[in-house]
Amino acid sequence: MDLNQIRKSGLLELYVLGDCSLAEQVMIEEAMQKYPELKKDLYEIGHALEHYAAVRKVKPSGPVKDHLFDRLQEAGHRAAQDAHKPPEGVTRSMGWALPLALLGLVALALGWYFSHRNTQTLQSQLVDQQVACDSLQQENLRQYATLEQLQDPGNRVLAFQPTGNFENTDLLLLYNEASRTNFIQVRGIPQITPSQSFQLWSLKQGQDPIPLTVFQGDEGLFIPVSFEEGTQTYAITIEPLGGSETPTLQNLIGTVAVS
Amino acid sequence: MTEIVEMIRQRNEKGLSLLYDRYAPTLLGIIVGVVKRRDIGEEVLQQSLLKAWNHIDKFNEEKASFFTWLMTIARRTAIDQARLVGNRIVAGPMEVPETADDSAAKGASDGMDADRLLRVLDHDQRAVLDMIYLQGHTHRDTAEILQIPLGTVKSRLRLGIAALRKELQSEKKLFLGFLMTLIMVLLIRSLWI
Repeated sequence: MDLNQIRKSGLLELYVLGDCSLAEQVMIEEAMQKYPELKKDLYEIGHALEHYAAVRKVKPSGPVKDHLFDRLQEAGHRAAQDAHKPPEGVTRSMGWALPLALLGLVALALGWYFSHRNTQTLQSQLVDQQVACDSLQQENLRQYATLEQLQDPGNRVLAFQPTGNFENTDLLLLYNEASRTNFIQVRGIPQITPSQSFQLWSLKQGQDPIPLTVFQGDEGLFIPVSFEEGTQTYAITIEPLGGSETPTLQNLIGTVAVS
Repeated sequence: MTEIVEMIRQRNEKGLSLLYDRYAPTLLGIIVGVVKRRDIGEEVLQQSLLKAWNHIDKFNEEKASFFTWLMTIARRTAIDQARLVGNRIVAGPMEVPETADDSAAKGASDGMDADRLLRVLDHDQRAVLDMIYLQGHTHRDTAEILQIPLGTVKSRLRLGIAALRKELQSEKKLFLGFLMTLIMVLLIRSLWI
């Protein structure tokens, strides 16, 4: 994509909001190397969002700042307490002789140094693990909800009919009119370049195609996609990264009729 | 801004205090928009700021501004919290008034008039921006709730942010123009005397 296409794709806004996929994030960061002027765009988008959020700002109640610093102190105090714990056995041998006492002191100092360093590392790892654990918990909840939808007996399994140039396309649509959900099961899909995406379209008689979900094809075996009321046929095309407003018909890879 | 980041990198708690004073109300506004409750929002705010303190080494000014980085942490923590509590983000009113801070009613920030900033967005753009940015909905959810195609959600979001950018640029030009005029007047006056 050239500079203008990137600006019009809406990906810069998603990048600033932290809502783009990993592939899109990599693409934007590579584009920033190629087009340094994008940094100004990203700064201005962030600045605009900061001003917009400031319109809705909510002043925290009085004790919140104190609580924050209490938690910070608590974490620091715990780390210091752990770090000052003397190694077992050192106190027993302290009274015997001056050289032994000095040796003990040196051992304590070394013990404190390594323990402190180790505690800091462990604390940092613990925070990382907690963050990872939170995310996994969320992911589990999402996967569970998805599984429930996939097992819904109201699902109709419909095969996309591949078009001439894309005969190897093997996609199924799990269509559920009652719950208004759609999933695409990927069994075979054409290769696309990093600057392209797949896009789902809703086709209704007498209307222009309606752009729906944009996906990369590597999100997993089942991809949740939009349900559009009154759709007669769903179609999938290959579009520039981020999707298009109108379909590229020569890149139509398959269609499936639902009514 | 750079000073705050440097202080936090050096584990100077004053940096966190300055960060709190400057950004906490804006971040709490975003968080409460997602979790809908002020008490939960204040807890999420503390978690977010502690994450920023603990992971400051991951902030890269080449990739994003400091506010953007903080906002991403706060939104993600709030969205995770909202899903933990209710298993999904819900559309609905906030428990606190939309503009709970008196000063917000008078000015968004840096003297920008809040009403003027909101007037540049049409109703549709504002609805999409609020749902995605301030309430943490996905684009897909937003499309379903507003019953519009996903492509329209994306274009309204982009055009809304573009309108805000344009307004802020014209505000900046106006301020610089005023400043230049003032300097010229003072210069002429001093030459005259």
